[in-house]
Amino acid sequence: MLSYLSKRLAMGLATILVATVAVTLLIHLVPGDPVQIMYAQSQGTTPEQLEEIRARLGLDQPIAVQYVQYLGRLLQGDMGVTIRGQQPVADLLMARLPNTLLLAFSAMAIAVAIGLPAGFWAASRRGTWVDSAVMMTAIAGVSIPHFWLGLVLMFWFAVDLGWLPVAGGGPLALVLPAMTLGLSNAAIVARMTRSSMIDVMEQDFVRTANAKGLPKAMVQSRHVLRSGLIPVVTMMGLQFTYMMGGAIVVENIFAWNGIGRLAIEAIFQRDYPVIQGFILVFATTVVVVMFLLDLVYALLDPRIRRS
Amino acid sequence: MPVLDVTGLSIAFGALPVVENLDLFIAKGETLALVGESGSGKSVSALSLMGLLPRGARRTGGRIRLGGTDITDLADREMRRLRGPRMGMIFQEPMTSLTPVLTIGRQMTEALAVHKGMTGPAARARAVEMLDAAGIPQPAARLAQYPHEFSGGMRQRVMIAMTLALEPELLIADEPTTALDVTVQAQILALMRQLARETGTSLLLITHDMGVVAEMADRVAVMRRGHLVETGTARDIFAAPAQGYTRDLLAAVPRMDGPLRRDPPPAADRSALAFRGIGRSFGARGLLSRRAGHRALDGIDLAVAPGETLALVGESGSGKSTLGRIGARLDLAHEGSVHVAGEEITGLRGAALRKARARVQMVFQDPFASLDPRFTAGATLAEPLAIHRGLSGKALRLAAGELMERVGLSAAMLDRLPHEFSGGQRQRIAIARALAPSPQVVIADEPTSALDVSVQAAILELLLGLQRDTGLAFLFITHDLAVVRRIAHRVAVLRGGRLMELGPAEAVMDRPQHPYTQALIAAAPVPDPGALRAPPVPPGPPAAAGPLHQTGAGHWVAG
Repeated sequence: MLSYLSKRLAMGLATILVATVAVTLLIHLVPGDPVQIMYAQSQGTTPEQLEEIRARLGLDQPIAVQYVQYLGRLLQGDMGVTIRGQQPVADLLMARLPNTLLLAFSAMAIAVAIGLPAGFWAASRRGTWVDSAVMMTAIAGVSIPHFWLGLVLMFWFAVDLGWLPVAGGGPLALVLPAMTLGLSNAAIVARMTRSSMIDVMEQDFVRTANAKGLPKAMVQSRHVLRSGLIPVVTMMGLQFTYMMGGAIVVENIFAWNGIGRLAIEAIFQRDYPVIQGFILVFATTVVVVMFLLDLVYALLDPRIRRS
Repeated sequence: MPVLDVTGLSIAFGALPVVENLDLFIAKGETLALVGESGSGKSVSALSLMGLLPRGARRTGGRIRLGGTDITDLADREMRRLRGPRMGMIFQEPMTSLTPVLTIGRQMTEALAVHKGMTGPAARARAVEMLDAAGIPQPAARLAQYPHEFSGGMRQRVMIAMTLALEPELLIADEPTTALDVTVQAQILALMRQLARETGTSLLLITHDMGVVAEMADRVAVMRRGHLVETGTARDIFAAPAQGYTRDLLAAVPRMDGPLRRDPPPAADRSALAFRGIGRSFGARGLLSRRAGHRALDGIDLAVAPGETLALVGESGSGKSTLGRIGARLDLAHEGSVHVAGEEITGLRGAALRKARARVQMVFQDPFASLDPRFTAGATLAEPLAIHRGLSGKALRLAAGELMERVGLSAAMLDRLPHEFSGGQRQRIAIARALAPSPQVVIADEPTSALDVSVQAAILELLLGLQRDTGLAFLFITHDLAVVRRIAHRVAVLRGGRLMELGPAEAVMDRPQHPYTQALIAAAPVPDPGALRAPPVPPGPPAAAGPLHQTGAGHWVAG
């Protein structure tokens, strides 16, 4: 168990390290002079000023030196300052990150709360109209893009009915973006749960449980559900990454003040330090969530826990 | 009144009838063996008694009475009340029959709670008592363990303990020892016999193994293609089978007292395949850990002469398949070298390796898995013919047709897909594919273990014929000692990755020197209900075997 977790932890840290390399190289992968591009829109910057900015960003140093310097600053919690306004990037991101996490976790909760029972229900009524109805709905759910579903929900619940705010902050404003993100993911969770449960229901050990004469509900909840959850949990890790990606789109639709919205603004303004910081924070979040899921995985599967 | 009384049972998969008009009865305390080859409908009949038919199958007729009660039309909820306390079932695959995410204790006590109202310490005490009776050491401590912490034989003991804890009147055992090693099988059968006798449980034993039938059954029912062919006492069925099919079935069973192979191997001063000092370890070779890992093979020296069959015998985990794979360069040895016709192939790469591979070919156990389901027989054969013999067009087609005929099939079958062939025919195609590059050595890994006995005999005959015609060398990997008698010139006994005994088949089979070989031979079931049986002797832990020393002409024993 400990060696399993320490291995996972080491892999997570390695992933973050790779992200820092990518982030350092990012500036140089853009064709042309990044400093010129960053300041292309601002009038009247003199060549001396550009040189000075270049020196301030460390871009006049060899890449290896840049990387080491970047890593050194990062370890002190310094992600640089924004090009415009000279605000510390770390503070900016940390102020927004809770909003994005709130959105992503709420959406995940909605996805699991709807998708898991729906998939399980469909599996236990395999081949009946219940199964078909759940799966048809799921296919529709997967097929609808976030931005469209978001706009439709906004139109119905905010504009037409006026029950919820169109955009902004606060708990009420969270409902629509979380629903948008959660519903389409609920469809994916439902499909995955159904196929995993059906797999398990055909296993020999379920036959054994039935041969022991256990009540059907006990066979389903104790023997099928727990084993069937293992692949679903694995998949939820991947799903969370998509969810974080989806959050960027949804945040922009509903003007939700998360890091996704910040990132889009930064990209339009060519604010490299912010983009770099965003990528790093995003990657770290994904790594942390994956690690937490590995813990859940170990709790569900004794073969991992006992190794 | 019989414990089980089945009349006119019929079962269908969709519109296809698989069992028709089956009559069975079992008296109290009696053991009935239901025998038949694959597809005879024996397993599906048993599942139908339990109300556990798989999706798509349904009962189309007949009545089932359990202890006088008609249970034919009971609803699922009522069947669940009978399953467990009235009739229990043990399955073939102990590795997959227990829920991996629940402890053994939980799985045993949950059924006690449901059916007997036993909970807490009472249920645990009952579970411990049953595990102890089933021969599981330290049962109290093992309750907290998960299935993956038990070996296959131990899991089957758990299944038996779990099922008999509910004291069913009828125990149905579907091929309970087929997946187990022969020494473990002997112990499990003895355990079932003993527990059934002590509790007065009736036993419906489903098996394809006539040796197991002879050891266990009071009466026998023979099934073929969904029909009951013959039924009678075990003694009568073995002594005087009335039906032709039963006679054929019994005649095809390889026997431990059957004749040995008579024709001597052609004299040869060189070897077709030779292993020198082969060692191989598995596991624990990570970046962080430098543990030695598990020694799968250790210092193996073996050689097979042209035209000779060397049988490599051992139980699961003995390293016999690993050695076979190393011989075909499908796996690499960590120590030692492999030689084919005098040439070392151990370190070969690229084109030289491909050329060497043509000379050593493999045939695998499962002909359903070893053929590509999307390749016709012709396409399967064409690949090696084109690559190793450079054939194309008409010549290739002709050569493929010839191969089909050599293995007893016809050239007209070249365009068929694997699912259009029977198991035996598929194994013939696998053999033809192995012959395609004109090898000098064929390594056959349990090539008949997945086949019915009648088919098995025909495949062995085919291999013997091919060897007579072409002087092929065979390394024949098997766990079945009766098969060894039919086919081997020499026998090598492997245990825990080391050679225990090596010698002429006659010497090893009839005068085994090593205690392990003796235990192995004693454990093999004999298809004769009258045979006197010594209680099974567990083979004991693998002793640190010493180097081989000679005890007779070409007969070597470790110790």
